[in-house]
Amino acid sequence: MNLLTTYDSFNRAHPASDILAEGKLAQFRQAAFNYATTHGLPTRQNEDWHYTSVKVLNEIQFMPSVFNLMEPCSETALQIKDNLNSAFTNLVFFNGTLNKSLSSDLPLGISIHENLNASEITSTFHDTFEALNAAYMIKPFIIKVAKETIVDKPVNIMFFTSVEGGPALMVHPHVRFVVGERSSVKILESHYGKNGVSYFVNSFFDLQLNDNSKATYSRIQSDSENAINIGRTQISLQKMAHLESLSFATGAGLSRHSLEVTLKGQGAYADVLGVYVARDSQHIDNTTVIDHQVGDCNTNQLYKGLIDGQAKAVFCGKVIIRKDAQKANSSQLNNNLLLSSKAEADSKPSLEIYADDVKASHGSTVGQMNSEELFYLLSRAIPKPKAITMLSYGFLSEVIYKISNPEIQSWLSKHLEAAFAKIQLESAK
Amino acid sequence: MTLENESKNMNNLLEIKNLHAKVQEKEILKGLDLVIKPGEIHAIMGPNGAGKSTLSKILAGHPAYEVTEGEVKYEINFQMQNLLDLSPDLRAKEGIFLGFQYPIEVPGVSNLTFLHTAFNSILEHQGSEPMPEGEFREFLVQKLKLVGMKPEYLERPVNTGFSGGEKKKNEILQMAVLAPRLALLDETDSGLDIDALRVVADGVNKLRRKDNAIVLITHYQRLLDYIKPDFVHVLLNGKIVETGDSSLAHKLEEQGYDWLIK
Repeated sequence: MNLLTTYDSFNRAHPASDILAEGKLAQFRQAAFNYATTHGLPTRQNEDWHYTSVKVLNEIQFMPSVFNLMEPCSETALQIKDNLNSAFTNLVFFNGTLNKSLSSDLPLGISIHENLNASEITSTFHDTFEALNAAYMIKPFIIKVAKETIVDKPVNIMFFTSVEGGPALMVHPHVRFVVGERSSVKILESHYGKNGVSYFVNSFFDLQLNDNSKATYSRIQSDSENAINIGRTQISLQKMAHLESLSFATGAGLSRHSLEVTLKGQGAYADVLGVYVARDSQHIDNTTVIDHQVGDCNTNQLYKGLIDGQAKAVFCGKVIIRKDAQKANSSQLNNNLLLSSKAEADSKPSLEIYADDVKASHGSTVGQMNSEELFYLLSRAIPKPKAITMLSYGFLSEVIYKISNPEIQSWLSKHLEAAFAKIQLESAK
Repeated sequence: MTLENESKNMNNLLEIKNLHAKVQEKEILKGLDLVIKPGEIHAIMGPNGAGKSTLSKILAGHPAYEVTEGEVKYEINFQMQNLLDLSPDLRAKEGIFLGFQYPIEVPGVSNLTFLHTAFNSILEHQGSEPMPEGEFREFLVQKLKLVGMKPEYLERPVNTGFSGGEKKKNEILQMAVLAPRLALLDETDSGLDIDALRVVADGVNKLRRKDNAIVLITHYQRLLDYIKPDFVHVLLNGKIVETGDSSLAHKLEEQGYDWLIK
């Protein structure tokens, strides 16, 4: 595999053993390397990758970002700062490495660690991308929120990628976030890059919500249009844990976010939201699994997307309600609005129910703008391009308004407005 | 002759001549004539399927309706112009307002943004500066009172989750804000209880001016107890078959439409 041609030199330059004792990480990396070598990149024959081709990853040579540890130039530093919010605690990773001077101090009750638990050292992976992420790991970034801690300021873990001249970089961020019992935190995982630059981000984010904890998790993917962003987020909820998640994607030429939400404790609750705007020839894939393993859990999934130009969006959403998950309550909905005749959306919601006392619904739509809504706005003197923008924006912002934190809500709205500024609105012409 | 015609028509706001129109290959209007002058209130009555709503949709420019014959002229800058040539938003900018029979829900767009955008689109068309949001809110306070709506309505998405009465009041609020020269109110009375009907009717009466005209499209004489029309027309099978004063509405209420079917 093309992505592994640099592995030998990477492994020599950054052996895992000198970071962590007992060779555990080295063992982990070796297992991951073996998995990736054996399985190779997924092809469209693979059911989970039927609608998204990653062939292009074999055509470009990417260099592990640790070979390029330059500080951001002043222009890039300004662009990074433009994407930071002073209402957040910002942790900035430039080309995969934590940049202390651009980052904020951590508030009380939050700590950073670098050691994986023995249980996290595994030789099985969901797919080759997760394995590649582990193989190229220098060290994990582990954040813990102590129990009974309310963290007011949202924590923004920001990845900014850029390089001028030299080979395209690949970055494999590995974040684990543990929220203690009865604690509450708001998290952003955000991805940006320098416009026009090619790079590959392959992120892994693991979020553990312990009993009675509460978290808002927003993943913002606003990468350079020449970038490839493949990301995996796995979230586990213990007893009475409460989650609001929102996956927001408007960037990258090719992107895929795999989200897995697992309900492991009774009474857990999750709102699983998504917003995407695809334009030009972008390809945006959201593949999600919501897994009810125990009873009395509630999940509501709503993903909405706008597709313009020749762009393509994919939604594959699976909800599993296992045998022991009685009294599960689950809804799933995916709505796609196509703004041009060449835009495409593939939507595949699915539901697997093994319990007998559950409430579950699912559905999806792919369609054009509602002509009656459009006529209503036109009849109120609103010109067609403006009317289409207002209706499309309203269509998507409905999802953002479900996020309860006002700062995150307005931060996401700002990103949505920026994405709208780039849309051609071919249908309005 | 031509001169005489022009001077005679000087004062007309709308002239419809021999209008034929179809929707989905079905002919609905079959030679409709109607002339409206500023300051007038017209009521158009008729049974279901007669073409009342079709007429209002065509005047507002709904794309699903196709005019096959006849003409519609509308006064713009003291000249009668072909209304059918104008896009729906341009018609609205020139003062045509359609109060919808079934107002559309627009999730995700707040009533305030909707009204503000509509209002500023008209200002822009007239070559005026847009009104800033703060000032627009002030301006809205009086308009809200007219229809007894609370300011909270402004923050809610347009018509979303509104009751039938609230939706109709919202139409009148929009009419009050946009100050049309020709308001077409399509079954504004349907589905209203007596209190809501009174609020809506009072609102319409207060918006009546010498220089604007109102067309009430209705099934029932009930609304006309509150808004007194200058003319009542009966629309039957795609044509206006009878025109009279407000007493015609009472006659229709008592005798139905059968006596008009020849």
